Amino acid sequence: MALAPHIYKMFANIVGSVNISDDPAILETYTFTWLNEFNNLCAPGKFLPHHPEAVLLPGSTEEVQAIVRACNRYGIKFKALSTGYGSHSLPGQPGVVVLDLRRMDRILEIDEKNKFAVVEPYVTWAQLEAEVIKRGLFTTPVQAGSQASVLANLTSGWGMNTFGNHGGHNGRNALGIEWVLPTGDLLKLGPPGEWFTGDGPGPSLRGVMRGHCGAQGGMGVFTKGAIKLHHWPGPPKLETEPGGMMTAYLLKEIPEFLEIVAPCFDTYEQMIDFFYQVGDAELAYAMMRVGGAEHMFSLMGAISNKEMYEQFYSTGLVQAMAEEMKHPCTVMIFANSRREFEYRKKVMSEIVKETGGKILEVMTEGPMKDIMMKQMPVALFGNCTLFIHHAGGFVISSGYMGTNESVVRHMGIPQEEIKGKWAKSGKILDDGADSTYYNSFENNAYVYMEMEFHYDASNPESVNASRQCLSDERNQRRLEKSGFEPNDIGLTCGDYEKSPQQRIMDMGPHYGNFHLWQERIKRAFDPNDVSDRSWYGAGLLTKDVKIK
Amino acid sequence: MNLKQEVGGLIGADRVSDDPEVIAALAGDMSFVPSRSPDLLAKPKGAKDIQGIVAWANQANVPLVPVSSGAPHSRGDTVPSVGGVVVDLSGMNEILRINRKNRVAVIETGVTFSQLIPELKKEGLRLNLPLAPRANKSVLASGLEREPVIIPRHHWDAADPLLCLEVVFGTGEVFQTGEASGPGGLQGQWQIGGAQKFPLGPHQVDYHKLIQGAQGTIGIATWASIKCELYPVIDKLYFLSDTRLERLIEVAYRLIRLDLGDEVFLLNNFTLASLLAPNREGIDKLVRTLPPWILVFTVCGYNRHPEEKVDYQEKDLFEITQKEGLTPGQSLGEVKAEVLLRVIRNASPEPYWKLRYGGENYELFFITTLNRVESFIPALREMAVQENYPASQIGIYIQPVVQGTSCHLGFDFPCPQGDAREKARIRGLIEKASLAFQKQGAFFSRPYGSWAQMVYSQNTEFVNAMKRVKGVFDPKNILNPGKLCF
Ligand SMILES: Cc1cc2nc3c(=O)[nH]c(=O)nc-3n(C[C@H](O)[C@H](O)[C@H](O)COP(=O)(O)OP(=O)(O)OC[C@H]3O[C@@H](n4cnc5c(N)ncnc54)[C@H](O)[C@@H]3O)c2cc1C
Repeated sequence: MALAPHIYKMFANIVGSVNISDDPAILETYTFTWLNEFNNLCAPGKFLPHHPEAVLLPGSTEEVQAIVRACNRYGIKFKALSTGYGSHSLPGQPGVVVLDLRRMDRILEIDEKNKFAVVEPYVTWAQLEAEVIKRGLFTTPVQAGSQASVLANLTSGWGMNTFGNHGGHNGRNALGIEWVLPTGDLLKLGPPGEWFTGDGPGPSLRGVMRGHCGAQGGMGVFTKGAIKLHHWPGPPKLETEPGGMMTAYLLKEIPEFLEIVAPCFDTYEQMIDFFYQVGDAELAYAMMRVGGAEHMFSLMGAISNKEMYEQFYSTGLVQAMAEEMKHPCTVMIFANSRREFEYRKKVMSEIVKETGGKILEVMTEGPMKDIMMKQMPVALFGNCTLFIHHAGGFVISSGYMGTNESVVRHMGIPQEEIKGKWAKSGKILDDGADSTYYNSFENNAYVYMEMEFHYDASNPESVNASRQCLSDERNQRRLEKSGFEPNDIGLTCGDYEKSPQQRIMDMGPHYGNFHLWQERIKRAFDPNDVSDRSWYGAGLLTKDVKIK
Repeated sequence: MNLKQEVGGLIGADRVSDDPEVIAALAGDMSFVPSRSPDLLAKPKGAKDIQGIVAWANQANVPLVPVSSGAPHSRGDTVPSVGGVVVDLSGMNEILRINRKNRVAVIETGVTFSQLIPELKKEGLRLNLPLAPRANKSVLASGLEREPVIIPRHHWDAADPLLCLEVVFGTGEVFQTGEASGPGGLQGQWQIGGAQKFPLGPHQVDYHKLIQGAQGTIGIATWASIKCELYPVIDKLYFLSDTRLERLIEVAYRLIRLDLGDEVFLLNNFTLASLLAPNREGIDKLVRTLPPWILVFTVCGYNRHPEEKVDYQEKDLFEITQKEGLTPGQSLGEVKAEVLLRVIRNASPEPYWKLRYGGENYELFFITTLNRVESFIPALREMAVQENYPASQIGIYIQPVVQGTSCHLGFDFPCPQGDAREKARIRGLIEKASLAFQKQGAFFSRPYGSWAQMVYSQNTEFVNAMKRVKGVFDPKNILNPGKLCF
């Protein structure tokens, strides 16, 4: 037992002895997440080096507060996780207790009129979505999948999501928040006892809460939060039936005013033009590029590699479509009335034509027709994580947030080049040097782009190749002076050959010394340095970070 | 050396003044905040000047009070609490970029509404405006103050339409926020296709949210990117009126929910009359012809089949209003829709509409939700009667914000110019109502003047946390000391 017995007992007193464990077998599971193999701390192995000292399952805000206060008193570090989908949720240093928040799993309120829901940490997107569509509302689930925590995304990590074009980035969707600060003090953002806003009085402490990437466990524990919802034009329940491939079920009926439009473009310029025009006309419920051909087919058409091969590769379909489907886009039109629907469809087809988009027969006829209309919506609404199966493992480039032009120019094109080289080596999956996820927000006010690298997780050589490929990508752009562009989402991730500390030291000076500002904020809010800072953009404390 | 010489030495002798008349004009405003003179007025030309002043102020321990808009000020936030230097940024008024493609403008802090609106229109753009703002109000400062804006659909977050900023923190360090952070500066970023549209970050802190709402206590902004919207090709304004608010609120909820209409807000007859009539007599006359409550909304068409877009929206909208038994119209007695449309698409002509009735005006405003608005209004009217203030002269403005998740509820109390007794009466009424409303759940998210004490005394945890933030960005409390909880 690594925690002193009296400390263990004290924690057990807080959460109850059934809600605490230091069983080595249990602790070991908190060093593992899938895809860990690319993380520089353990690659190409799968287990992070730092076991937690204990795992605690608090059941209420009061228990969380008591734990955090105790941590401050005894100098024990803590790390909170909600659904724990990545290594960002696990201890990044020794001496940490994990607060696994799975017992806090209630939707506390859905305010139908004022369009928000209040959730606890372990409420998932699927859980919330099922409840809100009954009330004619929808939410903003992330590509991580419907099993991921709403609150973790809202408060603590990223925020790019499939329905961002109509629903916004989750970093901008937070309203009232309840927050146990690293000191154990309880802070409520927004009016006491109310959830309709989280900004003020005066400055908004959402500023300290989150930023672009979320504090990832380095700034205390969020125990409740209100998320802004948006309108759902569909029926209160989506009936499905078995069938299809990627989700293994299809929509029984396509909602009345729903259509998926999937134009392909020959060039990025055309595609960008399309995004701008659709954004200006406010036509899309969701708008993204997921592609090229290999990615698109494997994503949409198959639940296994075998099926994918039989359906699309052995028939030569994917190979034949590679040129035609260089830039495939998926746009969802979802209207509230027949009139609105007709208007949107008309303008959409006009824009597709004007911008050089092609609606390919292969997508609108034959087996793909059902997939596009009956399965694609299920996949999007249900937010299936489909893109990982081709090779067993995948990692993303750091990802960029900005204008269409800046992200394509400084991410899409150079990454395709580098990826092409590695794909040829046979060590990572050859997906036509594509596989981007490109998503529009707030009617194309800004977009997000990342590139996925698919590797064989059981093969260390393949794992290493994907890591090197990402380092190459970063290093090359670092050489070009203007290659650093604004708002690199990862800032400190995306180069998995380096430690977080090295990445921070690399990037900080190019971005206003954000790491120094974060260090100052960290010290101000966490004077005893107990909220595990290993994923916080100030890094682990070293002598390299000089604070005035 | 005296202050004038020291600051003059930093930014140029012609850019500082301690002329008693100038100083006297800066000593107070149209609020209940006690007047107090600054020692000096300084007019920096750019970030370098500001940095110089902030560095000096830190050493000399002299307070700085940043101001961007022209007078008259009305919320007490630019009245010095302890003297010092008023840093007047109104001369930094260059429009740095208008970019139609990305629907954004980058402006210096002194750029006013009357300056920016016509320039945007030339490019086919418009701002999501506050309700007929003062012509000389700084666009950037309005964003920093989180003033409510009139198109709820485009108000995704409380921070909108303010996106990225350059700021000189109280430590004297310069920083760019959001997408503007990073190499290249504005020019370099534009060259690679960037447009400073993504406001979050950099990385794990949203700096813009800490500067916003801070009444100048965290940093001094030099420029900002402002989210713009397309200028409509077809533009129709409708009135929907009723004797009670209830049904109008229902309609407002539906419009916002379905993204129908652009501008959507509710007014009482007094506010509508104040927006439209030139003076007290005109307002008195007009009010009598108006129904008690008016929902105003616009239906707009843009460059693609504008008629059809307007047509479907109108039909969908009319179905909603019909359900409530209400019929929208393009006139309201003698008031024509086009006239109000011009008013809400522009800065207010002089005199500012809130000052037309009495010459002075005092405000009470907070955030609540639309379905709770009605619980405040009768209570306020009752209190007004008790205080002998004519309830019929209270302007009421209800603005759904953040896509309808909450709303701004604002009351205006006109006051005869220079009438100290009336001012005191209004003050008493506002203070009493504020306390009562806070208990009732009103959220004073922008705590000017005495509201600061009222809200912060109820929220010690927030105060503690804000003090931590202040310690990071302005550890010596140089910036506008005495405001908020600092
Ligand atoms: C395959 C894959 C795809 C992904 N796609 C997306 C995407 O499209 N968009 C996107 O935004 N993200 C994405 N992510 C990242 C991340 O998984 C998501 O942001 C997700 O919403 C968070 O869920 P999680 O299970 O990872 O949360 P967790 O692991 O529980 O938490 C995420 C981080 O926040 C901290 N945290 C969690 N809960 C709390 C709390 N209550 N208080 C304080 N700190 C807390 C954790 O310590 C951790 O650092 C993806 C991840 C993977 C593995």
